[in-house]
Parts: sequence; C-alpha cells; structure tokens
Amino acid sequence: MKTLIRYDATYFLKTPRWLVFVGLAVFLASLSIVTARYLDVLIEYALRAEGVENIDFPPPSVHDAYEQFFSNMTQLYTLVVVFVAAAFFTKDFTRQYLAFVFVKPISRLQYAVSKLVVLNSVWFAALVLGSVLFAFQTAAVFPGFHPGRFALATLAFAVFLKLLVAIACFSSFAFKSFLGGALPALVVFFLFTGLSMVEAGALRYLPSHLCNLPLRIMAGEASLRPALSAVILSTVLATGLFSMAVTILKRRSLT
Amino acid sequence: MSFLKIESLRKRFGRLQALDGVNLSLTRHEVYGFVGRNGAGKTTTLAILLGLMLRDGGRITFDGEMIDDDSIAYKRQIGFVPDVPAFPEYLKAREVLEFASAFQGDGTVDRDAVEEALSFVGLRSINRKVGSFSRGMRQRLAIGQALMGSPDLIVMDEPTSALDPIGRREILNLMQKLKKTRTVLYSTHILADAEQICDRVGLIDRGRMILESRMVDIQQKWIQPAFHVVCDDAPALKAFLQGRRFLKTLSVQAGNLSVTLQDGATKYLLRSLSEAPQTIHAVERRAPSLEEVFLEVLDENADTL
Repeated sequence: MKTLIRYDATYFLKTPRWLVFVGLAVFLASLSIVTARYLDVLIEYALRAEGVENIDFPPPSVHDAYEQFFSNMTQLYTLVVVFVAAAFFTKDFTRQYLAFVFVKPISRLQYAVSKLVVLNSVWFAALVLGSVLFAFQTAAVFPGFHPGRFALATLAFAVFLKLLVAIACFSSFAFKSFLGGALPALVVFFLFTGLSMVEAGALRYLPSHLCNLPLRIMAGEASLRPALSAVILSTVLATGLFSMAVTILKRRSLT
Repeated sequence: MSFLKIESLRKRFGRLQALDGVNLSLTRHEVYGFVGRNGAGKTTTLAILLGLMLRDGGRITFDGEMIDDDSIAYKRQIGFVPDVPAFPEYLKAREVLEFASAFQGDGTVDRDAVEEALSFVGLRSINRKVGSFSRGMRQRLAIGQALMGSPDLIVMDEPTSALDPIGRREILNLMQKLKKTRTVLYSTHILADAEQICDRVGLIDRGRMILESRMVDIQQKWIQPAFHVVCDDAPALKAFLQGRRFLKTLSVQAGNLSVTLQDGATKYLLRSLSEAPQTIHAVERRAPSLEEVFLEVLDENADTL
C-alpha cells in the first residue's frame, strides 16, 4: 500500500498537477481578500465610468471577504478538483499503465484506496494552505475574523469536495474516459448549486445544503440538524460510491 | 510435473467464443511458444493467466496451486512483457524498475536487482524520462521490469511484433539470454522467432489448441523433406513430374521447382529427375519452416473448427 501511495504521489510531484492545486488555492485566497478590501472602490469606479455618481457604499466587512473566498473556491477550485480527479482516476486506463501495475501482486481495492487517499490529500493540503493564508490576511485587514467558524466552514466545503471526488472516482472506473469521469461530477455540482438556492423543507437536509453551508456558518445562521444531515448523507454517499467504484474495478477487464 | 497448467479455459465476448476449452501446460525451464494468428486467443489466455481478465470457466494451476480470479500472491513468481509496453512517461527507467521491484516484493526496492536489470537490458546509462524512449527501448525496459523480484516465469505477449528489425533482433538476443535461467511463455504470430527460441510450441486457432508438441517432435513428425530443383525450364519439369504418387506438393518458385515428398520418397524423386528431358543444375534439400507446418496443420483442422 505504501508503494502504491508513493507511486500515485509521484504523479503529482513529477507533473505540474500539485502546483495547479497549490497555486490556485494561494491565488484565490489572495484575490479574495484584495477583492473584498477594495470592493466598494471597484464598484464606485465602475459606476462612475457609466456616469452614475454620488452613491455611497457601506465599507467592506469581514463577511465580504468570506463571501469572496467561498464563492471563488466553489466556482473555480471545485471545477479544477473535478477535472484533475477525472484525469487522475482514468490516466491508467487511457494511457495503458494498468498492465504495469496489475500484473504485480497488487489488489484492486488497495489500488483504488491509494488513488483516493493521494488525491484527497493533495487537494485538501492545498485547500488548507489557501485557507490559512486567507485567514492571516483577513485577520490583518478586517476586524472580527472568526477563526473557529472559518475552520468549520472550510471543513464543510471539504466534505462537499470529497463527495464530488467520490462521484468522479466512480464514473471514471465505470466509463474509463476523462469526459465520462468528469461529466457526472459536474452535473451533480451544477444540480446541487441549483438546489441550494431552494432551501425549503426536506431539501435543507440533502447534500446540496453543503453548497451554502460555509457562508451560513460564517454568518452564524447555520442550523445544526440540516448541517449534520448534509455532512452525514454526503459521507455515506461518498463511501457508497467508492465501494461501487471498487466493485466495478474488480469486475473489469484491465487490458 | 507441470509448472503451469491451464485446463479447459473458456471466455466469451458477446457472441464471440474467444476461448473454447484451451489446454496448455509448461514444465520448468522451458521456452514455450504460444503461437497462432491474430485474434486466435493468445492475448486473452495470457490476460486471464495474469489476472487482468475474468474467465468464464476452466482451471489454472501454477506451481501446484490453484489460481482463482481473486488470487494475487502467485504474481510474485510471474514477470510480464506486453506487446506494447506503457510506463508512466514522467518516470526514468531506473524509477520504473524501482517501482516494479517494490510492487513485486514487500515494498522495499532491491537496488542491486534494479542495476543488474538495467545492465541486462542495456539501459543503465540512459537517464532520460520514459516519454522520450523509442519502442525498442520501452520493450527492453519491459523485459527489465519483468525481471524484478526474480520471477520463475516470464510471460511475453508478442514482444517483437511492433519492432523494427534491429529492435526485434535485440529482443530476441535478450530472450536467448533469459532462456538459460527462466521458464518463458512466449506468445507470438511470428513463427520464425518461435522457431529460433522455443523448446515447445502450442498452436491456438479460434480459441482452441490444435497442436502442442516439442519442436524436435514437430521437426520429426511434421517436417517432411523438401527440395529446390534448379533447372532450365521449371514449368516443363513440373509438367513432367506432375501426377507421380511419391509427390506431396509441386510448385514453381522464383524460376525453380519446389517439391515436397511422401515419407522415404527421395530416391524416387532423384530417379525421376535423372529421366527428365530438362537440364538439372542442382537439387537442394531444405527444411520447411514452422510456418509451413502450421499452415498445413491449420488447413487440416479447418473443417473441424
């Protein structure tokens, strides 16, 4: 198992993939704080260019920073994670590396676990790095930064990403192609984004609730039961999808 | 006792019966040529043996142990060389062998074995990424990685089929060296290669084994005497000899007459040639190739398959 993890980690270390995650997380963290800090100035400038003047905007707050950060992460970082996940899970199929691995005494379960562990570790480490950077910058620029809530909100976002990665894993092993691996996760992502706007009744308890949960946590508006339900359902769904992915891999011809 | 025994192996792809009861056995320290035309079932048989494909039926016994679809421990004793090897292109040859060594064993890298294998396949001084390797270099690297963990059996799936003549010669030379220390299961449709390397051959066609024999026995049993007759007028000589009962085949090839005979008929041929009105310049005996033998066997079995 250690060798498999080393083998999969080498893929990230020897290719620019790890830099994509780290670079994007750091960039989005810095961009979010800059955008939030000068949001009022930017809007005033834009409106003045259109001939609209004398509109007073409230000064930016720490909540603008949170909103910028989680919006950027949801809209950009999530998509990059999905695309890299599909490429990572399907590369051994599409580039015919499977024979190199599976003619050796390696179980298909260990192979799948290694892939999931390495990928989740890489994007999670980059996410933590970006979040820490954002936290320090925000605390320096805005008063009222809440580190505890921010850590919780980041974890909620990570649970959402973990679910999308599990979907990409399942569809990659099922369809053996990059598009087949990425599309179902993207469809679920857009579906959840849409559903998260309708937070009524039972919908509040579904995994789609995770899309807005980080900002609700930061605003102090998150309810415990819907939040817990969304996290537990997502984790169960991710585990189930991963088990099905392993079953598919075990039954699949690897030539 | 058989080192590897495959019995009644069956595999179906939709309506195609790819393997229809394949039987095959290897003893230790032999080179077994698994031959047949493209699509005969060679690669499918090897893929099932290596656990890359599930079988529909049949038994595989390796070194006395029954192999099922979930078995993986037996793979420590097998090295595999595919027809078109693919390795992570961001790795160097040494790194590929280090991973192969760790995968094959308990996770530790046997660095001496890695260096030995790199020397064996002539890649020790190459410090480039695999992505820049030629096909021949990749094929040599495939042989190197197959040697990691000192497996008892090396399985090769058409390792020379995609190579140019120089690359093919290099691989055949490596196989000659391997032959001294390992059991080799060598799948190929290039019968001239099998003829050079193998101790025993099995012929598969449309998913069934139609011949399995030692090369020596094939030469004795199947390869009948054949002659090239160099003469002035080969078509006329052919017409003169046509219909004689001691003849098996008679054809004009490159201006000469090619003749194969029934058992013990050499003296009748020579007597007939001495009576022929055409001028005979030379009579050369030649051994028909394995290819000719297999074409004949395939022809004989065409109706039964």
